Amino acid sequence: MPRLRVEAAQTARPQIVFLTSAQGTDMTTWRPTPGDLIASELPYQHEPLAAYLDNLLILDGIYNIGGVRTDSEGTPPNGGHEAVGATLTGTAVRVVDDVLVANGPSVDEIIAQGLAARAAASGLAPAPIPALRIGMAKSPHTDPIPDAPGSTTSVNAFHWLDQHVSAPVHWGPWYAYEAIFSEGGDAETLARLRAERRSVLDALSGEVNRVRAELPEQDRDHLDAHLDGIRKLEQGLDNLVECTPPEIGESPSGFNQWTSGPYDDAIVTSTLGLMATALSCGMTDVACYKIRGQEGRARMLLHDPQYADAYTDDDDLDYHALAHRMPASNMDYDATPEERAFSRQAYADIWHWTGRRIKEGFLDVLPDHVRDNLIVVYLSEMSEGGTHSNYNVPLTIFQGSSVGYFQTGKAFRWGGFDVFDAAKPSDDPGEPITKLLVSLCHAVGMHDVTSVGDAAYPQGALQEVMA
Amino acid sequence: MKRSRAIGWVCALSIGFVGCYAGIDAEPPGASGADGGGEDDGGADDDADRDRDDDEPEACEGCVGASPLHRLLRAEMVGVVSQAFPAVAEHIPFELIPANATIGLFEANHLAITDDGVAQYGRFAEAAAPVVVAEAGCEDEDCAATFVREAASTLFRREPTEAEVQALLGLLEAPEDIPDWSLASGMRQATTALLQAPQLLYEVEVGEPTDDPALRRLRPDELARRLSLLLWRQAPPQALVDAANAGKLDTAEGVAEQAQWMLDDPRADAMIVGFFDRLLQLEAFGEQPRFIEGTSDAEDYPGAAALVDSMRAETEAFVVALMHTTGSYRELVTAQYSFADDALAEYYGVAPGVPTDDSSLPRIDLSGTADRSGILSHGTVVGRHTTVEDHRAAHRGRFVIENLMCQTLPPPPDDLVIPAIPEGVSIRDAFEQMTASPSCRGCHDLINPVGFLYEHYDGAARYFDEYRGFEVDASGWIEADGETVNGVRGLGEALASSKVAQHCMARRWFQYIVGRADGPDDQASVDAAFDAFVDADLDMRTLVVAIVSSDAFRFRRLPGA
Repeated sequence: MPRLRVEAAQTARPQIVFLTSAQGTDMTTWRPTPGDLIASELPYQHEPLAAYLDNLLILDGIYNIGGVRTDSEGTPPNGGHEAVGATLTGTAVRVVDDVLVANGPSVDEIIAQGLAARAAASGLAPAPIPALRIGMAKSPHTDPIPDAPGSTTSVNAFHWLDQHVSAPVHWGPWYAYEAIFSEGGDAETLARLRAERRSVLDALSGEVNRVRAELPEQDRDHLDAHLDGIRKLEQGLDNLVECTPPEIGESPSGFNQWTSGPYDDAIVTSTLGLMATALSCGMTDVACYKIRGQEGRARMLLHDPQYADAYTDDDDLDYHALAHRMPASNMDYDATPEERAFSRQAYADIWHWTGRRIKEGFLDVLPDHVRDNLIVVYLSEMSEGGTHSNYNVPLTIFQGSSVGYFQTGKAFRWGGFDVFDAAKPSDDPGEPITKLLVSLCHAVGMHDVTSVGDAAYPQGALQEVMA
Repeated sequence: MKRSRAIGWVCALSIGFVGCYAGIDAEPPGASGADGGGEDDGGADDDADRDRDDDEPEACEGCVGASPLHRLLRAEMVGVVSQAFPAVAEHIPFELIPANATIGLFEANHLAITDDGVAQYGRFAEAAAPVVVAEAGCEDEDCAATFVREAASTLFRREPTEAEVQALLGLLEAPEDIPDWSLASGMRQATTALLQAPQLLYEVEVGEPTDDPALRRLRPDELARRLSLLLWRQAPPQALVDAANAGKLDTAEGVAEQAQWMLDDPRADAMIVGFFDRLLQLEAFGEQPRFIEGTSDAEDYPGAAALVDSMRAETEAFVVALMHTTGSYRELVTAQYSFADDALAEYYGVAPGVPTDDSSLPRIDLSGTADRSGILSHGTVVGRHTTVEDHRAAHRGRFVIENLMCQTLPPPPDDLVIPAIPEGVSIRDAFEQMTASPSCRGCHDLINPVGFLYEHYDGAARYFDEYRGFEVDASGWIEADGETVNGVRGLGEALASSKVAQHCMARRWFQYIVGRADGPDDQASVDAAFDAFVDADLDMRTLVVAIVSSDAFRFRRLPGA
């Protein structure tokens, strides 16, 4: 690993993570009471992150504008699932050669390029991986192979994936692990760096003392302050981040790394651990993980004792079908009230299950200085999956204590749209996600960004949530 | 949010009314006080023979402010390190050097380093060392030792002691059982230490005792280093070292003589530009959205974003040429010429410039323009001190009052509500209405008349006779009892004639040169320099030389004594 990246990993610098989960969620147990989070009861789906309440910002009323509004080129919106690619790009997706393609880069790519340019301007080596992207493809069978050049934003890909993207995409953690850590760990580099720095600091201490002795007594406090700084650096040598690859074991054979019931825990936990290591070691400053898409089965609940009692092998835990059964005015299913309740509970449990892993497998394991400078955005492209509504997308932001850009410990709500009934119109759709995307750029220090996505959509930072 | 703050500030200024304007029309201190040196322009040949005791400050008890240990400013570090490694200077990541804290407008050189500062110097050294070592290309230890000695000689701004050299050479050896250790590894270690060594970071000034135990007179070698670091951002040139060894820095006159030729040299340009950058706060110029390509604001100011570099170049060329010709403060604020490339000349609406010996940029004639006046109407200055057009007078007025007249205004609070901008009135009238309440008037009676002098200019320094459908009224005044003047040209004339502004210019140069705020104990040195400045028909070169030959520069009062 380049020396400077190990160095940089010790220092305060902004990093950002995008966690995505398609198909929305059960909004009844997601929606917080607007205002101070501490003053109100935290909804069930957010409970796993309660330890980080002071760092949370929950936004209710952001709409995925590319899925609902015609763009500047007159492209009518492709909404619902097809607006996955619109979410983080702030553009309307259109069909090109039978493939849904977003009309611009997603915000993770914009930030990756911006941070790389800034690192270069400040004399730091850019992060070896401009953006670490895992789990974006629908499946290896139906989507273009994501590692191959020419992949495009598909119906189920949140992130901009074309030949111009700054880093490849990995289906799952084992693929990513192989790509990132194929050269082995970095213990030797770390030991060498530690020894070299100790040697220089010893020499500097001697020189500071030499100069100190020359100076009048009244000047010596300045040198004492300098010696204090050197001592702090010496103490810090023992705290250098170990960039040892996480233990993820052998890849189970015969399954799709991206999502597969019995292995969901291994996949999600390993991916989050891999991202934590990559961020801590300064291997990347931008990480993206699509935790799940609308297809697949939500069988992780059967394998976790906290939830297993409520479900059996006989239950239909198809992730997509569950979503469609949620609303009263469901689109495709003639669900009974019991089936609707069951679907809502399953969705709530899935998000709860995921929240626990985000906390325990990611936020908790990050070194303090990394977590303090980190922003995590966790969202979906729609609100309640059964409505296919791209209004009121569930959106939670974690902001590290040193970032200071957003107000935290708060929930905001905008708009008059009924998240439980997509057919119910409203004159007040809420706030467009384009403004949040601009805000995220600002939050990592890219203050010159004034728009993300289609210029015809409302742009500029989402001022109301700024600290 | 910005809008709210700006308007909030507009009215909030009234809170500090009583303190807003105290002393703005007060006469600057007169010629009384210590003989600070610099004004004595005769007898240079005799200087070295003068009894140095005669050169003791006559009123040392109160004429030299406390001068703590000098830690190099970033610009000084850049200059010295570039001098040590000129072949690779452009590849050294100087951006990693921490900036010193700012006191007032200028970087302070006397504040204790923080833990983070120590770490930042370390990061700079680690990043720069490989660049430097690669260029050195040493293949044996003799070469490495020579490299270390020569580098230390420049970086420490004196010959290193043998003990210092040996400590550095010790780093050529592998610190522990590290495999693949090479000579280059060792040189990188030694260079990493050199680039954050206290002998580089601090200006070690022990001085010689005087009758006052707390007051030290700088030794000639120390004075040479101080002078060179200030004027050239470098280690002392041999000519200055020789002058110091010959006793030519033992008197104020001798220091003045050395300072004069160094100030005339192009190597002083960075110091000159640095002063005006800070005085005019131009580090932040170009960050305003109207100067950033692709922003919606930029569309409202066509052409401005593409001219940011041209505008910067104009100001740099103007101040450098001025300081190498007349040095006139009057010319600084009233000049009917500037230096600009053809694109900027066209933007200003004047004919392309003509080449001169004063600058690499063509000289443009501004006498045919309606209201251009010296540096005051440069795109940099107008652009930097305009936030939004609706209340631009507040920021422009504040800039002139604080930066150029050394008056202190209370800071703006954040919590006032934005008043509605009335329809059908000029922005001047709208701003007057906005600030008409009794709670606002206190300060805005002072700020508005100054800010309105810029009324012909928008935030990108474009001139308008008519703005938003109304004829522009750019009348105002800079001092409450002063005469009414018009436009930036009137502002320039008023500043040039104002004793307050002239004295402020003397104080600003003093603060920049000594790297700290001027306190009561510095008054004699400031006043003496001001007198020299006035006597020299407001020649800022004379002012600079007077300051560096003043007691405040040649002596050190130890802190806390």
